[in-house]
Amino acid sequence: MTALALNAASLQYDNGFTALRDITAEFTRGSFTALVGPSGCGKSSLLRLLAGLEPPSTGSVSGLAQSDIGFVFQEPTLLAWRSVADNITLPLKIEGHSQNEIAARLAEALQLVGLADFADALPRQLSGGMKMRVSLARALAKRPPVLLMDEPFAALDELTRFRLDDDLRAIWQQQNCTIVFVTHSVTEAAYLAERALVMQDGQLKSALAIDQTGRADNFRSAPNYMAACAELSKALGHEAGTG
Amino acid sequence: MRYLTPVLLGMALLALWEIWVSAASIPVFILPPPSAIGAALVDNFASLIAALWVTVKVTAAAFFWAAVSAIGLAIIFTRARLIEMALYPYVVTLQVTPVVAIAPLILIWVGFDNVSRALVIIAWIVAFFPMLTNTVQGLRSIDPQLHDLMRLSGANWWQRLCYLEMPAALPSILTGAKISGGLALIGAVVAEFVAGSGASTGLAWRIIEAGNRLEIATMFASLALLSALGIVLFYLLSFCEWLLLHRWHESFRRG
Repeated sequence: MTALALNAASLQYDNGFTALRDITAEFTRGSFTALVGPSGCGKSSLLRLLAGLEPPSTGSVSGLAQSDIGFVFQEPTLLAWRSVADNITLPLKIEGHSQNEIAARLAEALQLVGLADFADALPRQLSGGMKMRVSLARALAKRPPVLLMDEPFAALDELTRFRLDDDLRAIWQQQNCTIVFVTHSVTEAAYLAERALVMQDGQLKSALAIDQTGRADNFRSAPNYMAACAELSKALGHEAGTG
Repeated sequence: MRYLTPVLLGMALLALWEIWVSAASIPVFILPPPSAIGAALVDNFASLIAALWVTVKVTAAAFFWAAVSAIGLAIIFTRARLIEMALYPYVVTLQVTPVVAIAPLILIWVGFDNVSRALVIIAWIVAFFPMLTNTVQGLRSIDPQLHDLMRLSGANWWQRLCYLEMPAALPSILTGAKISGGLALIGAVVAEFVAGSGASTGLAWRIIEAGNRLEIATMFASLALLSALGIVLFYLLSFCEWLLLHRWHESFRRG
């Protein structure tokens, strides 16, 4: 079953810049897709199109209502004057859920990202990785069928990123949601996703299914993961190396 | 040390002033010694406090209306580009035209039946602009991703205003308020000067009146009260700023 689909969609901004050209793609329900490409290739624009933040100039997007979409931005994008709990519950409050419902979802979201002890902390008291967890929790609290993530871990150090990658995989399996994950990192795409879409100059260049064998063990040293990295690098125009 | 050093310096300067005036036998109608100023303050205490209260009311009213109108207009400006483009030149005109030059007109228009309203309007003109530009600046510099977040949550314009825009712009609004508070006082004093005796009964008018009678000590006493009012106003607004921002804003982060 398809959760999201783009049909020959293009996006041209008001200043005349064409960010996306004729993109057709499908995202099946419960799938984990990585969008990979160099900076400025249109990955973020594609995500904004899927979120309904931009309308396509031509073509169509068939997706969900914005209330069914959890969006995680490149930066934590937290409100500095609200506590962790108040940041996470803000979208629920705006959507008008009951107090009990909000409290239950808050507890669940905090649990999922491992921040149960930090509900009353203010964003400035948290590290970069923790802020990103809050941002993720805020998206998850909506219990969205679709999670769109725009290079969420790009600004974090590698160890924190590895840990968040693992946590995200676990959350994905537990929540059974559809994830579209934008990244410029070949290794992150290969590690996280089941499928990687390679973008260049506003176009989809290729799609690569990532062999999932060896997931149960240490996937970062699995040969098929290495192979996927190499293949993705090649698709991006690098002869060797793992990006 | 932060409070002690300026107090000690002030006391030393006052003592020097006192000694110098009596040693050089400067007449009191040129420069009265601090002791005479203190005596004038005590002698005219009731009437000076009454005058101070008049100035406080004008200043407070002007500041209040400046804040309300500036924040309101700033919200309209950031929502409707067209209104901003149409109105902005006139707002600037109001700001750059010296208020002393507009004041007589305003006194003629509204001052006949209600002098204090004319005074408030004049002081409002002076206080309004920094509040407006600071609020607009604060509203404009909100991270666009935060606006996206509100859109994805389905927030209506009122929710966007309460949950995002007002709190995010608050630091800039309060910076504007600190400037506008001082300007409201300056505006009130200018307005009283222009209104002249008979029409106004505030501290600035007391300064003019005392000057006309060569009661220089009373002039200084009024002046001291005006300065004190300005200082109180500034620290009151700084305290509000601290109260509202110290928990979360970067400017209150300890180094």
